[in-house]
Amino acid sequence: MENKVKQTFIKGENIELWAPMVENVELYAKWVNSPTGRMYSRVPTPQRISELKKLLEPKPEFLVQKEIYLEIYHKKDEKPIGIVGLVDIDWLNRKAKISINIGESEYWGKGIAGEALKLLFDYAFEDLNLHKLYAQIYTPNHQLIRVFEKLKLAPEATLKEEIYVDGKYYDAEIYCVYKKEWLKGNN
Amino acid sequence: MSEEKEKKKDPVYIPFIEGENVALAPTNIDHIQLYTKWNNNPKARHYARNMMPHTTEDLKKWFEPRGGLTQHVGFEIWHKNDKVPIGTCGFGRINWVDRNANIYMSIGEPEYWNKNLGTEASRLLIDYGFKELNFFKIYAGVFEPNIRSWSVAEKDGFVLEGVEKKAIYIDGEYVDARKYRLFKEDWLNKQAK
Amino acid sequence: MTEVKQYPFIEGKNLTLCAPNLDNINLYASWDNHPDARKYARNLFPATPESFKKFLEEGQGRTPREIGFEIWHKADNKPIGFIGFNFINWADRMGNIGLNIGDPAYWRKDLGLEATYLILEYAFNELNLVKITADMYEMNAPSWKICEKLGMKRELVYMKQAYVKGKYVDSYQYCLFKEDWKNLRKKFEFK
Repeated sequence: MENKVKQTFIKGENIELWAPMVENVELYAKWVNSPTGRMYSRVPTPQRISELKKLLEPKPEFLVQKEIYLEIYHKKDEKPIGIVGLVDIDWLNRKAKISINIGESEYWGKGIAGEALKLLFDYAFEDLNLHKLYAQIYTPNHQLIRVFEKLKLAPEATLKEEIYVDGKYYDAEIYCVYKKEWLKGNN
Repeated sequence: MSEEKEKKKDPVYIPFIEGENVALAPTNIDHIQLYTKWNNNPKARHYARNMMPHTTEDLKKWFEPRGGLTQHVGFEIWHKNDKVPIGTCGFGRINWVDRNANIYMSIGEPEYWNKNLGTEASRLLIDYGFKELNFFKIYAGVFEPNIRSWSVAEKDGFVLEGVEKKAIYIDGEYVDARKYRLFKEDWLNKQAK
Repeated sequence: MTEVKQYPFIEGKNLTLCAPNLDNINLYASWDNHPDARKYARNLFPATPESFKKFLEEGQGRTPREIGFEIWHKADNKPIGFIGFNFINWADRMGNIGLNIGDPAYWRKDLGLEATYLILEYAFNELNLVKITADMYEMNAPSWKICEKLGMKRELVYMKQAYVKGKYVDSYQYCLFKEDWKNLRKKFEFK
């Protein structure tokens, strides 16, 4: 009965952002647990499929969503390649933390993360009426820092000795995007 | 006499927002009988139908741990001098994206009516809604015969957005609902004067 | 591939309103997610088939507050959208309706008009309701045009009620009373 229906939520040029699907939870688990992938995203403990499934379950109506995940779907190759989203959504202060994981490593270095983030920012500011988005990037994560630099963003603050990787402490840089500036930049 | 009073558990005063004669405090599950009594008061209950639940069971649901931001923020209205809760108020149907919410306010104890306490409580609440919760718009629906309620709304600066005809069936007939709105900008301008 | 089943409930000219089908929840979710629909309605959060499943399962009560139908295209033999009641106040005999032609290929063909006509008939003749309301954002012209064509009245305008695509937009509320429908319905031949 597996009817593959497109769950396109946001359209892009090379990618689309789709609603996450329970059928793909094993794929998501693979990406989240990936040894190379998780090094800089700091997922220190193994993520079980059952826990990921819980994240995808519908929440009780009175509760406001604290996180939103979207699947990154590659148009030409017709397959999901990663997840992008917002976590720790603080509706009162209208801010959220950016989360991105290009799970399929062969798509690194091809502008995918940049495009996914651009679509995410538009969604966060134009649809969700958020005021500010931020990302906490650890300094060894050169690839992701490069993505943010290409988006013309600069670090707003540095948190010293924020994470422990392979026996050493590393700093984290906080990148922020503000609604006014982002929407102005789009016009 | 004072010993008798001590045997009964005195309501606990925990102010969250302080006004001159009233304060807004968190709702308290110990007062649930009181809320139900106010809610079921024949004079008050049909006008409040859209905004408040009916039974103690409904009310108890509000006290279940929610683990996060929800679409509702409620308060007890506390009479500072007499040291008793006299009503409830708050915001329902909060839409955090659109930054708007429905305001409700009800003085449950009849001896506290007609003393401008409702006006004072609503102003504290509106201020909180705009300045702390960062709402863009507050709206209210009041049934036509509930003059006391919509007079307070108009005094507070609410603008009539429209009238919903035959919105609700009360006591054998259909009654219209007045829909009011207040923008943050207008509230702040009013205060500046 | 298994044949998609339908469960007809209300018969129209070009459409049938059917009971929602749990087999189609992937389709329903995709309609809610469709990016083009954002020009008119607003889908803020990604919809999942699981949330539909939950919604459909909860509606099986004795007096369900939410009643929804699958809109089935007779000639093309497939579901194309959803129509139903967002809430019903039984004591007041008032219902609020919502429509979604999920498949953009079926837009601008007066199918929304027919579906709404069928739902109004059902609301007044079967559910014995007295008043129907429908809400939509100001830029959702296809929706409020349907309301106007059917003779509904725009009774309320909520100013700057929603934040859509970077700015605040108004929300319209249309209404229709059973006594007025008796005459208005004569213009149409959808049954």
